[in-house]
Amino acid sequence: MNHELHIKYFGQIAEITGKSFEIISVDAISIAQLVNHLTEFYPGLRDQEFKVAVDHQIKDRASQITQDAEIALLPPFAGG
Amino acid sequence: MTEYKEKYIRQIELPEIGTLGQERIFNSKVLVVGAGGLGCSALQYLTSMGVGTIGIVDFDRVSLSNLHRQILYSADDVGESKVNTAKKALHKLNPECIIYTYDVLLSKKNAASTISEYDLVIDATDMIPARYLINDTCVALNKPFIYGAIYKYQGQVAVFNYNNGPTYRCLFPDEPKEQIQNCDQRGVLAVLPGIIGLMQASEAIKLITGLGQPLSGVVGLFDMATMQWDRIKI
Repeated sequence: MNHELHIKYFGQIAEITGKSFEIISVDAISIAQLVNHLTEFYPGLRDQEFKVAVDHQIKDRASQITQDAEIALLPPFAGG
Repeated sequence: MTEYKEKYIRQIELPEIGTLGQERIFNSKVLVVGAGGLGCSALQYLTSMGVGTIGIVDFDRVSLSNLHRQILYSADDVGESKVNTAKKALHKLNPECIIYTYDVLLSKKNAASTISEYDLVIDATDMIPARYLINDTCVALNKPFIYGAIYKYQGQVAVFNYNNGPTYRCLFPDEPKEQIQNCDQRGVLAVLPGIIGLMQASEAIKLITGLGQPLSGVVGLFDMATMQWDRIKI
């Protein structure tokens, strides 16, 4: 089934993708598969540390993404 | 009315604070690690609100490029120790507040002995290794700490290790291999660390008084450019 995902990018991740938000359509996938998919589009993500949240909850990479979920890619911040 | 009560009457009037809450604030001991943008903002309000004992850890000296956001320092202080300058400014703001200064880099040698003297820690550093050291020491000593960090126009804030809640390592288990850029490398608009530092100070007051619901088990993300606020459960 095709999924429409709303993805938010934070911090350094948004700089790599060049945007803070986008909507993508993908087949039913896990978080790991989504990360691979995004890394193909944005190779700079490969070296980045980040967590993935689905509908405002951090999930591990094995979790499946439900249809029309809101995704967030959350890197650590260092500034103070 | 005593001078003490008059000074804090506008807080005491709040039913959730009251005389008991103000006493708790006065009896509390808060350690602020980092006297930069986040730290200066948090320190100013923690002091004015009547926190009885405050510790400040920072080994840095005041530089001209600090002044736009590190509001405890002025042009005359350039080259001076941050902790000593901050102490002078804060003492003027509230002479009742006892302030201890640590003109050192927080390290494995001094972290436990320093943090053990306080009820809670505000992590206002701009160095990732220091954040892991604060986390691990607070976990070992069973102390909560209030995390804040910024990246350009965005800030993160969270309460970690509070009542067996998640720690920073539950969010990011390992230190990143790649360096993450800080304000010196990426730039910063002065108001953002001010806002995030005040969020940290307000979380501290909530832990001390029991007011509201602390940001534990959740990381808050604030985007100043869009004024959006996201809460992500850990």
